[in-house]
Amino acid sequence: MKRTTIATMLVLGLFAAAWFLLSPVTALLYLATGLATAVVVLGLNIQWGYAGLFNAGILGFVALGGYAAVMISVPSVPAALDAGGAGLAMALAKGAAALVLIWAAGKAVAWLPRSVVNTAQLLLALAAYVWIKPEFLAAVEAIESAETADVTMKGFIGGMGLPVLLGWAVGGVLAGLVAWFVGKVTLGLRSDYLAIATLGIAEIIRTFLQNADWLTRGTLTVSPIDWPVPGPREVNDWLAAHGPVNLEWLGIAADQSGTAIGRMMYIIVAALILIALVLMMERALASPWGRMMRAIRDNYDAAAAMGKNVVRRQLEVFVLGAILMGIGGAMLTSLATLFNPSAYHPPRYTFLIWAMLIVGGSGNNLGAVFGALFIYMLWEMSEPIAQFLFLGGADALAAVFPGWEPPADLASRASQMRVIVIGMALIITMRYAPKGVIPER
Amino acid sequence: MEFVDWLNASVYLFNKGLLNAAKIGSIYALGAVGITLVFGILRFAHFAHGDMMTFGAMVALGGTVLLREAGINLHPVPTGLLALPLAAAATILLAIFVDKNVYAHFRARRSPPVVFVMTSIGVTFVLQGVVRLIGGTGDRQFFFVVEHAGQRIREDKERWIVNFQWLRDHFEGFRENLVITAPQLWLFIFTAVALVCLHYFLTRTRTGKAMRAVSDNEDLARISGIDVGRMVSVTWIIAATLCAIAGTLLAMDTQYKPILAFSILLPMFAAAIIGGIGKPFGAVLGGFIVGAAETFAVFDWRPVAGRLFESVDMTQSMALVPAEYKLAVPFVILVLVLVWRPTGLFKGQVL
Repeated sequence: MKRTTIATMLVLGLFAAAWFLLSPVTALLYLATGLATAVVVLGLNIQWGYAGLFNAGILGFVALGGYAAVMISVPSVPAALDAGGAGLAMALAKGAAALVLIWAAGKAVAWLPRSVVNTAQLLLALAAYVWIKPEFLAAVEAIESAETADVTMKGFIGGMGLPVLLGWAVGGVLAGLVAWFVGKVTLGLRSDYLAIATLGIAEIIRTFLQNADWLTRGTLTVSPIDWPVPGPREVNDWLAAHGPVNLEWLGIAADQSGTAIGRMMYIIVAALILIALVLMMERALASPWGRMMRAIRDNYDAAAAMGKNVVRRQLEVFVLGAILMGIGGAMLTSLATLFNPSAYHPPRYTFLIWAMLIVGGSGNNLGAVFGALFIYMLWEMSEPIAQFLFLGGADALAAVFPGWEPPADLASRASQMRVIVIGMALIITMRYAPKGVIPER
Repeated sequence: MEFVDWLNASVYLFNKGLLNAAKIGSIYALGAVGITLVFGILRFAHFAHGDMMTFGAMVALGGTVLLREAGINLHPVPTGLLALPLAAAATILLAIFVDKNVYAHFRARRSPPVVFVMTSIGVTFVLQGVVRLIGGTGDRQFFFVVEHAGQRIREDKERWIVNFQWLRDHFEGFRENLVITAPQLWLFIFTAVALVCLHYFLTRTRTGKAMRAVSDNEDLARISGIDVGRMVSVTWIIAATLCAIAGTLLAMDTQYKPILAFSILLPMFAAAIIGGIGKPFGAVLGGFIVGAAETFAVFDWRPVAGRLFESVDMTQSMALVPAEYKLAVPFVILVLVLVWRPTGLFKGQVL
């Protein structure tokens, strides 16, 4: 049997299990999340599968994409903008100007020893930071204390109130821009280094988004965020006005049909985007550019000796992958209708993505999509299974040993089982099927 | 501004700044030494290092609870330290078990480093799950109340206060005390002892020298008759012991939590790279550099400046970066080092 057939059956099997054992709307949610995650995994596949770049900072690009969805689609808060917008723009402009000046000055005195130039540039950048910081903080303070019409939005700079689909695109652009800077700094180093550096940069992005309350509302989170299609609530409202749609032949209860229809529409949009991206990436992989990328991955030195500008090609591929991660991150934020910067944990948004790619098959776009869907569903469904096993096991043990009492946090301990499942999946795949379920052709 | 102001300011700086920097620096140093040794001998970035620390702390916590229930204590030695040998033994067993069952397979095939890194991420996942499964998902105090000579003593609240009576007698207006808590003191003692032992081991013993030879050139070491497999085991034993010590003392100083050491994995990597990969003493220095940079970047200079100058505006924080961005500091240093001197301060291996 072909491996793709097995893979499809595995995904369908998990989907059916979720549909019948949990509930149809849950299964649809898993599928939708899996498809949005697949876009992120596709981005990683470009970086790792095509070019061998070890990006351990996926979370940062996903979070940036998520923030872009907020920035574009959330309604603006005029009072906050009036209070601090000008000051903020001024401070940022000064900061950018200072950076450009420092960079240009470094170019102008390039004949000096590099260490001297670098030290001077660092000190100048530090001085500029100390100089601009009070102005920036004053603007932030003004935004955070501005009296807004909607008191729940107090202290938040707001968004632009534009269609969220634009936010998805901007998510890609924002992540790509940051990736360009990151790549400029870190590419050309060996893989482990890139991993540690990107891991660190992702932490910086996460810390910033978590603590910049004026920009992201921090722990207060931003919600709701639009869907590009009518969301469950809109569909429910429409159904209430126009009469219900009977989906009971699908096993969907009447009160859930609005949610189900909304999620199905999201799935269609996400699937269309994913298919378009996969087709584009397949074309790129088959083109001379794709061949060159694989040549660089397989033998960096030989490719460089053949006259290929390897660092520049790697920068291209790094940015391209980050763009997909940003788009995927925006799609995920939209789907959750919530932007919670504290939710971006490395295990969930970096290492789980890696597990998806490795299990699915790196270097193969179909493998990436399969890995995303399969591992995501496994991740979600191992929780209820572990709960069931643990609570049942505890009852059995308590029956055998009458004096024994299960720990009070047994349920939350059981939910950690899925971390073990994913870890084992990763180790076992690395050991027994290092090329993944659908290997590179 | 008088001399006594300087005295007051410097004692304050020592208490609130240097001590904290040295404390977190010691933890980073112990972790970074392990990371750099694993890198030197096995040639991969060991992502599961932080969770090995948490595992050690968890075993120590379990041992402490058992000892307390048995009523055993050796005051003034904290009960947590009595459980440390158990924690070290368990962590060593864990490291050897993981190595034999996971990494040895890839070593035999001479897999590229990336395969090891990826597998160690898998190990990290499993360890995180295991730690939460056994140790629970909540935070726990290493809270020791011991009975000693008929008195109830809270071990974690014990502290030594140096009040500089001589200075007080000679300088009017000197009012600061030097305060060291028990966990801090034990941390410094353990770090110093561990690092001195490591130094002697690496420079004076046959095994230590052989380890350094493997780190410099594995193939050359192998044909010189060095048993590389044994060196790998020794590396894991050292790294695991240091992990258990650092994890336990970190948990004693703050509290035990499941993300205890995963959250400091990155500063430890930063320390190892700053010191030069494969250079244990570079890693120690890197650990203290990262610890100091992190502490002083968020250090509010107001009380120090206020003791020295009357004209200081006390309403605005004088910290370089807000305290929330403490975590970002090691990475900024890391990125700077990567750009500047990718071999680290001690000319380690280029990654």
